[in-house]
Amino acid sequence: MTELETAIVATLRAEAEGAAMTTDTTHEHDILENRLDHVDQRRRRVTWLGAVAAAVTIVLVVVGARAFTSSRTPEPVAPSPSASAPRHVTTAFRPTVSMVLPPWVATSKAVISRETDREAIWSVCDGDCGKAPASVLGVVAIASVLDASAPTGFSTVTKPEQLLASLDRAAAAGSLTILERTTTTVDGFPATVMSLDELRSVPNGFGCELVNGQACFDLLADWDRIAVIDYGGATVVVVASMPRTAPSATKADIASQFDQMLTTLSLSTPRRLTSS
Amino acid sequence: MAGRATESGSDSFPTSSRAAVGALFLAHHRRLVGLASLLVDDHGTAEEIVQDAFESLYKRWNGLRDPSAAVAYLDRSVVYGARSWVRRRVTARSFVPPEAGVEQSAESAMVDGRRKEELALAIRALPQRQREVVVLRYYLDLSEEQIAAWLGVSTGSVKRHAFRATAALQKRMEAWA
Repeated sequence: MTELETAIVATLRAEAEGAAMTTDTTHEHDILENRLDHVDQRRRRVTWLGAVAAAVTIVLVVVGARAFTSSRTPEPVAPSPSASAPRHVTTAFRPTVSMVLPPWVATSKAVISRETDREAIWSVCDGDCGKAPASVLGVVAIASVLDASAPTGFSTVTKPEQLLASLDRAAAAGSLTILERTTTTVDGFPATVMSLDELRSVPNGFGCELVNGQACFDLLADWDRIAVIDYGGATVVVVASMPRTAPSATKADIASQFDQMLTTLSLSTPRRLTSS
Repeated sequence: MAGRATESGSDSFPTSSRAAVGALFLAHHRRLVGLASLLVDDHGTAEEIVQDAFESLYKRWNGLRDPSAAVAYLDRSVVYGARSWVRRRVTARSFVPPEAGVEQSAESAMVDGRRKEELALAIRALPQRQREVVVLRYYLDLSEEQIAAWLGVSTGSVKRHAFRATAALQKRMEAWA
């Protein structure tokens, strides 16, 4: 081992020990206990709902079978999965978001979710959460973006058009390709929906949760389906992300599910948005 | 790695998954926060990543073929938690080189401390993938093959990242010498 390598080992150990000593394991253990309580509650709820759903299904099948035998011309029933699917409502994220999670997230057996007042993230594992997530769904409030003309290098207020312009600049610089861009509305708010092929990593290139370049997101050489929502002048981003090496059919499927999810998404009124 | 896994062998495991995860938390929490802190810039985020890893372990406990694999699972979960698409970079902590002409300390201990500080800053300033390779190689003591498997890249890619990282660190350290 070279002198540099020895120094790296010693430095990493010292850094890790320093961080380990500043954490309060007792307090963190209490937090974990609360989180595991929630997991148990969800499990019980799912079990109970499963039993109810099974009972309802049996009843419907019986009723349907009787109806079929009594009439040879049954009316077709239009499938409306989003109408009956359970909605997810954010608890900490502001604005409050309610939506039907897309099947690739909702039916996954392995999802790690996290939520703060500025982000709600679902990391979908490919069977095993001990491996890198196969895809990510996120709802994020963006408060600043890279801005070379600003003294700090970041904008202090970000309107949706500033984020879009920032992504356009990244595209012009060859860091990403905008594959598709459409304007639409999400819950009545103006929105721009795009597919991005990120060609290389750009630190802080996706914008930041706080002003002055704090807690920023990087562009990470991924494929993204993204909706930039003009939330009364503030910027809310919904994004699905996966490695750009994923098969085209998978990306198309995720994009389709993502767009369907947007039709179910509702936001609390802008008055309730907390200022950053 | 193997040593740590053996420490929590199945013989000594509590029977309930809740108790087992709790016991693992008390035994490994600090170490995992240390590992996470090498990969992200924010202590709170490091703690959150470790919480996520334990919650994920609890959810998947019944699917674990061997409880002694739980520690390795936690290590990997922390590494992957830190490299999700929301890898944060708190810009205020971005690398800032020290002022030119800083006087060398006469005491070697102080020089060592300063050198470690500079090296730590330089490691944090590495591109994320290089930083991951450095942490996995020199902190977790993984082989190039193991790192490649963990990160889902080729061994050649690991070698390239490791070479570039050490070259960059060497350059920084020479500049400060």
